[in-house]
Amino acid sequence: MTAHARRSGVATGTLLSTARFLEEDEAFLHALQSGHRGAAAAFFERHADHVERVLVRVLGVDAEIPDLVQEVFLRALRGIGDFRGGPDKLRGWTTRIAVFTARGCIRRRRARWWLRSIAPEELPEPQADDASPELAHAAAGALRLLHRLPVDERIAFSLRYLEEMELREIAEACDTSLATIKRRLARAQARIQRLAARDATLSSWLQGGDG
Amino acid sequence: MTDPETPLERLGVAMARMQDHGRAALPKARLADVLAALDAPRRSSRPFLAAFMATAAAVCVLALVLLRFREDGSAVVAGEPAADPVAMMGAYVTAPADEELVIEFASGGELRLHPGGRARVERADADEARVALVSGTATVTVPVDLATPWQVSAGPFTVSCATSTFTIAWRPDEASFEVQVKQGGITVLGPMAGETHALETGQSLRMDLHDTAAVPTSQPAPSPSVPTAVLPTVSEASPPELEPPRRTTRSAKPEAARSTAPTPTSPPEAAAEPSWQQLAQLGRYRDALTEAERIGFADLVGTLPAADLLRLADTARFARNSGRAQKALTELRRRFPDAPEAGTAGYMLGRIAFDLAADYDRAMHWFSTYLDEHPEGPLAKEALGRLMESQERAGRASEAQATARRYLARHPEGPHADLAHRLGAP
Repeated sequence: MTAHARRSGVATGTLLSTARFLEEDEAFLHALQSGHRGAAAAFFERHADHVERVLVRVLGVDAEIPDLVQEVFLRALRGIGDFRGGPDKLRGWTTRIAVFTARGCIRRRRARWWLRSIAPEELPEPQADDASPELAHAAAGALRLLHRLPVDERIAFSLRYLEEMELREIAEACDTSLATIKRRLARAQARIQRLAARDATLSSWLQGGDG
Repeated sequence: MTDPETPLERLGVAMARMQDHGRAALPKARLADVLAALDAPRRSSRPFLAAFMATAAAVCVLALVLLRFREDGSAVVAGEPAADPVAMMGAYVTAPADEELVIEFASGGELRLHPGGRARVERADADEARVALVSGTATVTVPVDLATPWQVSAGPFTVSCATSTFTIAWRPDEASFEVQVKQGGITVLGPMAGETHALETGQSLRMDLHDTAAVPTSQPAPSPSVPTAVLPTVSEASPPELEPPRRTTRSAKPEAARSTAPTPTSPPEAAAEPSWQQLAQLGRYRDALTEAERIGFADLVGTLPAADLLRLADTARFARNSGRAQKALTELRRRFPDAPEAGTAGYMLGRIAFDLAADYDRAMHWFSTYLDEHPEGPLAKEALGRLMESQERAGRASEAQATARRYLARHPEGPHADLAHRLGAP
């Protein structure tokens, strides 16, 4: 069942649609900053998938993802009044909030790991359906290793190699310099190489195996 | 990044695909519902709300402009299915000052918002239609052949109906509620000492929470089938068009009505905007959780006393949001490790893992934790039985048998005794 609104006495109906916002970025940002409810819905529609993907890339498949997506949007809507960029910066700004939220989640969990009966690194990762067995094995092993990286290295690595973001975008999302991101990525790669030494398939893949 | 070339890049793509393959669909409708609550009347203590209030006038203008934009060729024509049904869901709509706004449901039901009224469609699917009347007056028509139950909430009141036409008014500034049934029957649930009022054609109910009294607005109905004894108000003929009730009519209240009137348990401000506790008390758990999110779930779990944290966790649990329930419970245990509620929280974490997540390993952990911390606690029997059940479901047969023996030794007639026997305990 669906619902829509019309004003009584007019032949054509009326609807507070989010579709219009999707076409008009300036108007959309203005409406969003003015607290227009339809704009908030459009904001969610437009960025929810991206926010979810960033969270999954950094945290892995996790039951808390919906709550964290919600947290990102609540933060964003509370802070949108202070946003000073143009509409084209909104996605990057939202990504930054998502990364901030994911970082907080990782740190919070590490502080109370004892509350979990199963540590994240012990959780089985899902199987990809179309990867070669070697690549699937290597990917599953690498996903487990991600949980052992320091938070900032993990974020940089995930955004670069899983989400395939450009270095400059990652720097913006992490609110740091390009040079810092490069250093974090280099450290993450070195650490993964080291940690992967015990996994023959993963180690072989990282050294140029063909999976 | 272009096409992956290095082994690391190819590995990253495979990792991402593996994640995508395993992740569940995002419950967008639920999340959008929470975000929709941000448009509810804000508490002045929140800084971002000041900006909201300051721009309220501009927002109204923008809304009206949008309404007019929709009158062009791309507009949704009355009677057609909405082009984007999600757009209406959770959105607040305000009727113009001089015109009605009709919210139509594809099934045929409609809510006619009188001039100046404000409402929000909270749900509109095959299972239920739910609308919140924020302020003003609305006439609801639910057709005879509509199988979908309707709920219209107004302040702390909830009107449920299947087939009927009724007019409902709510003035939050005066905490006044009034409903008149023109056709069919409705049920009104409100802060009336747990009472539910059933109203039929020609009957009406009026409550003024500021004045704590149910107010009759008309004479008893002529129909002999009407159980007048339970009816707060009854009307003779078709009731006149309702306008938001005015407090000035309170002087006309009979003493009899006043003496039997319920006493509100909260101050007027709270009645105008029900708290999450009040909503939970009314059984509106999803609304209660939405309200808790609106005022800041993280703040609540960081400041509420232990007993209220348990209540918040229950609210989330009944709203089927296990993540929020777990958050409230784990915070309770962290902040009040020595409180009796901490033990209950541990047990409840086990229940959530068992009932909502089917995570039997985690359930075992929490039931064991409860038993370690409170071997003689009030929930010890249940926790031991649940532990046994969790072990059985997790495929830990020998552990389940050992627990079964332990259970029968302590609770030979307990509710899990049958299971214990089936597991092979003597």
